[in-house]
Amino acid sequence: MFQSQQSNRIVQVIIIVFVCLLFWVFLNALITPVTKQPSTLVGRELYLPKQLQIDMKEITQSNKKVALYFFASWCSTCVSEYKTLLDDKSDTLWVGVLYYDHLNDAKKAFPDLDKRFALIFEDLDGEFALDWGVKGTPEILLFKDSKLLERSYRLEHS
Amino acid sequence: MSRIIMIMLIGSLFALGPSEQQRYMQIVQKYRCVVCQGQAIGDSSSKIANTMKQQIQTMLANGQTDSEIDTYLVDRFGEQIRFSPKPSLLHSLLWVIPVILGLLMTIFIRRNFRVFISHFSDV
Repeated sequence: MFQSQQSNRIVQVIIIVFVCLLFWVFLNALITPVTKQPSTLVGRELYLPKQLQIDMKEITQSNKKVALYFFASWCSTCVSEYKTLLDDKSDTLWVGVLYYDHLNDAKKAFPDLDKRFALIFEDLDGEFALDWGVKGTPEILLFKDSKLLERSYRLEHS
Repeated sequence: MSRIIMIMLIGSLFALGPSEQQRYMQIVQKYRCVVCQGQAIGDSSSKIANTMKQQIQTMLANGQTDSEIDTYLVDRFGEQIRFSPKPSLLHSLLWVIPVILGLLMTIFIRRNFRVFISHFSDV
């Protein structure tokens, strides 16, 4: 009898310690925002570099969703998922941003760029991408009513 | 291209005053390069780190404070860009919980030392 009580007590302690450790691991996962994307930019107004001299009304007037697509010819993922982008039948207005890349190189890597994108421009120094918190390519920023709605890293998920 | 950016970076660094240069050196060590493994932006020569350094220099030259630069970077890349996250209650719990667990275990083992010994000697 006494022996079984002892064993029960030890098992109870082991369970309590295990639960506490589990809680601690959960807390760790909750606090460490490894892949969490900052949401502070959500709702931010869409703008394009001033040097493009584009009237933003032309882009936002249509009430369509606008997607800023950051890509580059040196990005193998961008090249492989470009077919998915060409197949897109939604009425989203695609704006291509060449991330540290030249338009001539992009034209060689991606056929029919002009058909897919309503507008495409180079971001050679990466300043525009930095201002939108872009870490790499491909990255898609989706705007609705010219406000940032969400961001995605793969076309398949957007 | 990256060489040109490096030369531009070094050139623009001299455009800052001595106190701004010192602040710049401190700031670039506080934030991690988002595409490197545990490297500060000051130690990284990746394109994005160079762009970030350029941006920090511009902000310093415009007279912006360290906290404004911090807000700019954290808003865009999240809390994980900081090498030292801001202290919070949740973070302190991470340090406190193992200590409390250890203390509770010690107290429990000390109180039940004989029970434990008898149990294991029987086994």
